[in-house]
Amino acid sequence: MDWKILYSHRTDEALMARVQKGDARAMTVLYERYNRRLLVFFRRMLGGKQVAEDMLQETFLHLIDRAGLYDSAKKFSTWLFCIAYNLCKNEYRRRQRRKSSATIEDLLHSDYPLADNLTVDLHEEITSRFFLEAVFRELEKLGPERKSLFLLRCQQELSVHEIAEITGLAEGTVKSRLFYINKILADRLESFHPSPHKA
Amino acid sequence: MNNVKTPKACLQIQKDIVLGAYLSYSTNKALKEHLKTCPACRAFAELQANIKDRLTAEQSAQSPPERTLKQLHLHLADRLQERNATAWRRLRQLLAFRMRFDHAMAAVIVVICFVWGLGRLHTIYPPKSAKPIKYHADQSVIETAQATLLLRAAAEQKLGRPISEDSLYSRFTFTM
Ligand SMILES: [Zn+2]
Repeated sequence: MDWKILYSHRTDEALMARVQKGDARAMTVLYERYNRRLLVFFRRMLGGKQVAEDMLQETFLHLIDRAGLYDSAKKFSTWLFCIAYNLCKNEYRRRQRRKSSATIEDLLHSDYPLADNLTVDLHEEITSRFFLEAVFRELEKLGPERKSLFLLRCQQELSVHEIAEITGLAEGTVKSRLFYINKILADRLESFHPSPHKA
Repeated sequence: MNNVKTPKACLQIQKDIVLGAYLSYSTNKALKEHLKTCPACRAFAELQANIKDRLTAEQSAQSPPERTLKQLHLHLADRLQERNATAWRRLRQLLAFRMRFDHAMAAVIVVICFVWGLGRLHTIYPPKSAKPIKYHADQSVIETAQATLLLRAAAEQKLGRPISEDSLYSRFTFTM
């Protein structure tokens, strides 16, 4: 498709300017760029495939409805994750208290898909999954706000500046909290050491 | 790592690892040197790398639902239609009345006729001030009254009806 090639060279910000004028193709490209990132963010923030899919849709509905509010001088990813972050906060408020951690049974019966690629070693996949579940079990104990900081940094690889804008925290606070979170993880996961890179 | 107090140098190194994207070349070099000799920081760095690798793999394994994009397209089309409808509604509110097409056409024809009629009227009966009287006569050669009589006769012949002196000066320009 010609338009896809043409649109794929445009920046997020340029595409968003087109969405503001009602361009459905520009929205399609933005959706394709960010859907996986948002899905995994929501799944880790809120748990559950269905919730994550609903939230993904909700995020883009907000994007369409509030397109006029987007300032093209600002980074698109920051704006988008700001919507996603606020949706998570609302969802947390709604739930108030939720189940804090996944058990091994939850994990084995979870809706998290194993990789489709059959050449992937199943043992490796399960080890990886246990490791990540251990990470998130610890993150759950730290609370949703810290978990979101961790995800925005380690999963979404956003800059400290962007995270500060999204969360409304000072950059110094973001830095110190990120360090604190990672230090705690290091301490608590010391016994759990999958080290897949080691022979 | 957990029971022993982390040395200050190691704390800084671990902070640098967490905020890795901001490291300058020299800091990066120092960090690598430190990792070679410090097992605690090496373990910390390994854990960070592991987490990032796992999270990246997890992201690429996602399969977004196909229906979402279709629904988003519908929503966008709705919003666009709504926006256009709102713009038209605002324009009509601004005009403060609702007009049918045939009414609008009739109004346009009336306005055109009015303007045309006004133009015709202006040609037949021009306002006095509209045409300046250019009366330039050498009174030493021709008496004004005499000239007026001559001109009046010529004008009346041309128009085919009698004309007042005032009208003569307002409608005819003559020089000598
Ligand atoms: Zn060290």
